[in-house]
This record gives sequence, C-alpha cells and structure tokens, in this order.
Amino acid sequence: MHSEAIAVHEHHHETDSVDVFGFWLYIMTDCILFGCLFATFLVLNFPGSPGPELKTYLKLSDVLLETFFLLASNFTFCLAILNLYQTKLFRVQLWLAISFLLGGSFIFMEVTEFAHLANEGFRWDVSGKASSFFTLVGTHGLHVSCGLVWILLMIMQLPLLKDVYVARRRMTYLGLFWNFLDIVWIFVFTIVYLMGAM
Amino acid sequence: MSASKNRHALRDRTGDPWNGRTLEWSVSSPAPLYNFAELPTVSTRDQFWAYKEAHLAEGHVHPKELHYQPIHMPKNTPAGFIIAMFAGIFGFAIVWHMWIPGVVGFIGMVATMIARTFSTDTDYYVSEETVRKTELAHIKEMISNA
Repeated sequence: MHSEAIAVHEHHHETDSVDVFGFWLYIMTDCILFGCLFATFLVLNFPGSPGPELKTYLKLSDVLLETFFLLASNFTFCLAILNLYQTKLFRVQLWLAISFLLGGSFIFMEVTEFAHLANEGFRWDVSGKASSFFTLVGTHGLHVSCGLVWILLMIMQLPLLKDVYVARRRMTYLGLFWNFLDIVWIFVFTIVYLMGAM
Repeated sequence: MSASKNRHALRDRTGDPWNGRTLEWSVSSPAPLYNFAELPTVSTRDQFWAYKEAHLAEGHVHPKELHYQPIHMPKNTPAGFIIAMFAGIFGFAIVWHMWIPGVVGFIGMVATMIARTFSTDTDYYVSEETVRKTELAHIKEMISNA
C-alpha cells in the first residue's frame, strides 16, 4: 500500500513536468506571435514613414505608471506563489486579488489611453504606423485581459481543488503566463514607447 | 463483390498483414486504446524489422514473462466537440455580421472552456492486468497467423 502511494505520487511529478513542458510550448508559440507583431511594427515605423507621429499624442508618464502597475502585479503574484507553497490558502487568494486589481488598473489605463489617442486623431485606420501600434499593444492587452479572467477563476477554484498538486500545477501555468506578459511588456515599453518618443 | 462478401474471413487479425518494417505494424489492428504497451526504444530506422529478426526467430513467447506498467490515460470529454460547435457558429456569424448568434457562439465557447477547468477528474490508469490481457490476445493472433 505504502509503495503504491509513493508510485502514484512520483507519477504525478513525472506527468507534471510533461504538462509544464506543454505549457512552455504554448508560450513559445506566443513568442512567435509577438515577434511577428514587433517586426511589423518596426518595419512600418521606419524613419520618415507617412502618418501622424505617436510621440505628439503620448503622455509618457501615464505609460510609466501603467508599467509599474503591471510589474507590481507580477510581484504580488509571486507572493501568492510563495504562500501557496506554505499552503496558506487565504493569503494566496488575497495576493491573487491584489494582482487582479493591479492588472485591472493596467488594462483600465491602457483602454483610456487608446480612447485618448483615437479621439486626438491617432486612429488605427489613419496609417500603417497607427494600425501596427494598436495591433501590437492591443494583442498584449487582450492577453492581459484573458490573464485577469484566469486569475479570477483561480481565486474561485483554489478552495475547490482537493489535490494540492493540481493547484500548484495550475498556479505554475498562470505564473508562466503572467511573467511572460510582463517580459513582453518590457519590450513594448522599450521599443514602442521609449524608442517611439525619442 | 468478393472483397465485401468475404470480409469477415479475410479480415486481418495480426495488425501486420504485409510483414511490415516499422513500428506502426507492431500493434494490433485496430490499435489498442493506449497504442503502445511500453514506449518503444528506437535504435534503427526499421525498428520493428530489427525486433522481428532478434526475437521472432526464437519462435515463441512465454506469457509469464510479460510484465507491463499501468498506463496513464486521459478520460473522454465532450468539451472539445462542444467548443468546436460554438466556434463554428461564432465564425459563421461574424463573417455575415450576424451579431446575436456571434455573441451566443463566443459566450458558448468561453463558457465551455471555463466549465471544463472546474473538472479535475480528467485522467485514469489502464490496469496492468488489462494491458496484459490485450497484449496477450494480440500475441496469440500473431502466432496463430504466422
């Protein structure tokens, strides 16, 4: 009986690593997607390309605040993971809720910024520059929105998950996803906003 | 006509009617639900041929020597089919600018996905005994048709 339990336990770990590898593959395909969007953005924003300039409409301080919201939500997510490994369920939920609020603030500011740009005349249909900007930043925003739904589901489902390994595995996936979006945002911030503003 | 009339008598039971060289011929026909009882180790291009030359030349298998591990399998689920149906509705609707069925299709897709995440009982093990019986039946067919 004892050895059986150990065998099943070990098997869990085995399949866990296979499943996490599967999620890494998904992250890689997303990397390709964002790579294409970055390439498109850079090609359509070569110096002297026609259309209005992003930097004339941009409030860089708002973008910086957005960045802080997203990075902070990643930090609080890591705190949730730490508490998960100490099996403090309520704290995990609390940190996830804070991550959700920070991520939600990021999305709120981004949508406000998009509305501001569109009202000022930097619309997605005025030039290739503008549409590549909205496609790249919007795709990232869509990913973050999906991540927010996922965080909400995780808060709801954590008390329902009987198996601690299932909870850890799912949090690992969500963590990979959330970290990945942060890394993509660092590139968006550098390439789209900082290089665009210079 | 002849092929249809004699289909039961002429049915292949070995999974290897043409003395195949590669691993897909090494399992029964139709294939067992777990495909391979043990993960095959591939060392040459024509692995099944190499196996035949090494082992089947001996001419016999001792059933008592067959040892298998339980096999980890996913359970069947209708979720994929339901998501595909809603995705079909969604795709058709937005192509023709039909907003109400479009919204219904989209919500159906996402709701099915979310409902699926509430299920944790998604896998099971095929017992060692079942694997052994299935493999033994296949081996008997191969020997009696050799």
